Amino acid sequence: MRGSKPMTASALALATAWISLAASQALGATLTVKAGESIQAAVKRALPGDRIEVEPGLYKETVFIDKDGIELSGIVRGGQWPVLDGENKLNDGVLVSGHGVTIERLWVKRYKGNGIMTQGSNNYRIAYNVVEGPCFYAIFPQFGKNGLVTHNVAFGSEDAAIYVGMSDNVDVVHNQTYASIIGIESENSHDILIENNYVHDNVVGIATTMLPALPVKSSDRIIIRNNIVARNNMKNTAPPGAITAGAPPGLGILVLGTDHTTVEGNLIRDNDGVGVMVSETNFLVTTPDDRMDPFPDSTQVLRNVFLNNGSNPQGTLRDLLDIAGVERGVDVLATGKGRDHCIADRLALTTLGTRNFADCAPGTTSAAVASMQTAKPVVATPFTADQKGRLTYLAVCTGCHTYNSKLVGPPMVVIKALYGKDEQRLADYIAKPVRKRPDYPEMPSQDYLPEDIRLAVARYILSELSH
Amino acid sequence: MKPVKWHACWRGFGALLLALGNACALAAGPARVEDSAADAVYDCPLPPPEQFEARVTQLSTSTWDKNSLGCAADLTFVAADNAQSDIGLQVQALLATTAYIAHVNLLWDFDLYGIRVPEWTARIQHAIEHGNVLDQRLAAVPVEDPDLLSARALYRLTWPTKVADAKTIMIETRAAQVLLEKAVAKEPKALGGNALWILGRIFFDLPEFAGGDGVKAMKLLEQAHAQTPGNLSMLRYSAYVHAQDRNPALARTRLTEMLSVDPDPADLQTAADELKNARDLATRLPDAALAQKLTDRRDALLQAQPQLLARKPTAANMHGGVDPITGKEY
Ligand code: HEC
Repeated sequence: MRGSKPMTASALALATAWISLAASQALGATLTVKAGESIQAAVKRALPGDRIEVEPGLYKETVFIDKDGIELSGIVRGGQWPVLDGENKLNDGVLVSGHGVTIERLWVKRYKGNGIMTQGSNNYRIAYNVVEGPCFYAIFPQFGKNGLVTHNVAFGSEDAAIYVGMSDNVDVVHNQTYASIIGIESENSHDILIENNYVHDNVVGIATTMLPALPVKSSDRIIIRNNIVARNNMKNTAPPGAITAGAPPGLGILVLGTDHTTVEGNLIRDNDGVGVMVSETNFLVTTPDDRMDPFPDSTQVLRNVFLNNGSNPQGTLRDLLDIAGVERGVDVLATGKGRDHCIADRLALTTLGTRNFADCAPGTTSAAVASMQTAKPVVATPFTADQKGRLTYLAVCTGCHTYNSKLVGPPMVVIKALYGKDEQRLADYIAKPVRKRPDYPEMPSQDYLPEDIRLAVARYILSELSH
Repeated sequence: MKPVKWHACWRGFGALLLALGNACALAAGPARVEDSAADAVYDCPLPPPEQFEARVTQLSTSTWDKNSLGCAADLTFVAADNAQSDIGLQVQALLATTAYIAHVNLLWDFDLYGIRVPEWTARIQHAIEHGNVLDQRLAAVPVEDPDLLSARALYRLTWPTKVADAKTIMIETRAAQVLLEKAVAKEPKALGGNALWILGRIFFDLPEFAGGDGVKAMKLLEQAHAQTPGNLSMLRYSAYVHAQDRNPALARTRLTEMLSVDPDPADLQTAADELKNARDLATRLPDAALAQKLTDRRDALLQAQPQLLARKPTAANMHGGVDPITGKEY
């Protein structure tokens, strides 16, 4: 773990090609994209390590980056931003699968799936962006190691505004998130620092979760520190059945099944239901998955400031408090499961279900951990074509398609039957989709995906994907 | 009273928060959900009287098929309705209804993003209409029969899981607890030994502030084990509780015992599901050799009975599917 300055561009370089890449970055070209031009075209021209500067203007496209060391940097001039607009039609704003990539100072709005997503990328930096919904996830790093998400403003997500999924060694610091189902979520991840964020007016402020039916089966060492977690009382409007549809409004911080979660130094105020809730995963999500331990262990609720939480519990939290025979909401609510928890300052707080929380030893603090990022960039092996196919299918296609149900697009079983083994035809279709079904919307072109990736996805769908 | 069978594994009372959210969100308008309510309708002709019993048996033992279970519930309901003084028939119909709802609840569980929520809700609502009628009839019966009490308890544990608010779920769970306590006081082996371990499960699952009691849960589970050692669901659930109690040795013992239990031909789906859960738990302990044995056993069952559901979660909304790095299922 490191405690110093944010990563520089060269520190982000691919570790396996450390020297050469650092050298190329030193000489790295700067490409400029002007209003009316295509960002993706610049990405195509760029070499690993190049910097792409985007002038203020309106860009209606998906940007896909699978080269390493690219720095995609917006230029804000006189208050004018480079704006990427998905117009509620495109699925992804910026999609990254290269390593050591920086995405900064872009205003990304109205993408149906993800505003900015990194998938399998290590050593990334997402900074100073504004990401506006409606979208599923505003900022969503998934399957990556060693990242920094800082100084972003994210709002209007149907799920988590900043969603760190199945990742290791990530700092989420100095961001503002609001008007989302969950302000900031760390899901099935390890060594995550969520610090100095302003998380307000969401359904749930900050959540650390251990969720079932995902390939990563544990979630450990998460610090939630020095955040302002306020007024998270928004009504839950998650789509029917969505996993977040259960997020209970009025909740400041949720610790769901994760281990060694530390909650310290936060200002937790005006959340109408409960300040901090600690519970086992299957209290909220019942999909069977015995490969993971659903119980939270070693939660530390250290010194925080709790102010005026629980004044008007609604919905689920109201129901739970009723069952317990409690009028008002509480600062800390636990279901009483898991082991080795502790709580500081107990007498100052209102609590429920915390009988198995010990008093934290005086002086317990997470202060020694200044950052969860690694001291050096982590090794980043290039993905095989098969991996690229599966990752792209997951990141892009599952936003609109599932195996055997109609989502936005037709089910994949139907597509498999239509295309047989003809990978090329499928790869061509997604680059230039034509209208086929009157009762469906139009499928947006996926021509930002290079030919090899489109073929890899096609191969995955036609040869591997099954149910 | 006719002998009763119970083919559904109650999945726990969790999901309460999830369920409530769904109820709210359904009103919220368009989303990424398949308009699947029409798929909740299934064909269920009334068989001639002489074939009735055989038909119901065939349907209710097709525990992998939602439509068969739905039809079994409907047919037993009709029979119960026509012979309202036959208490055994009312109990049987309530159990069939409960088994059907439990099956749909589990399908919903594996539909992580609720893409087919309209279908699941329509199915459950239909079953609840029958279930409530049967439950009320049985509530009015003056005899305190252990199977009757247990059947009513299971229904209370099952119907609300996905479709009611948190408070209703808790209230129904507590009502179930009282019914089961009465039932096992009269007959510890009520409902083929299921009543006892499910009572243990209630105590384990309830939160501390709602009457949960881990110590009591453990006692009941051990009692259930001593009494009916060959119940796959009980064994798997006990192993889960022992693992959480940091007693992996005992968890391993229970999982190992599952290897020598023959699946109930009347409920092969539960056998396949519990072997999967057991394999997953063994992987977590970790005990790779035991996990392999459980996998082999499940694979053999799935191979011999290809109609059984494999319970693979589908990828949707950037989650699920295979592990994109290894390409393997998990
Ligand atoms: C933003 C939503 C969206 C995304 C993302 C999306 N699709 Fe589609 N897709 C659709 C829609 C809508 C249709 C139906 C279009 C029609 O039939 O007119 C469709 C149709 C298709 C078809 C059917 C073509 C035919 O011949 O009938 C294929 C193949 C396909 N998509 C593949 C993909 C692949 C592969 C991906 C991921 C790289 C993907 N789609 C991503 C919305 C999407």
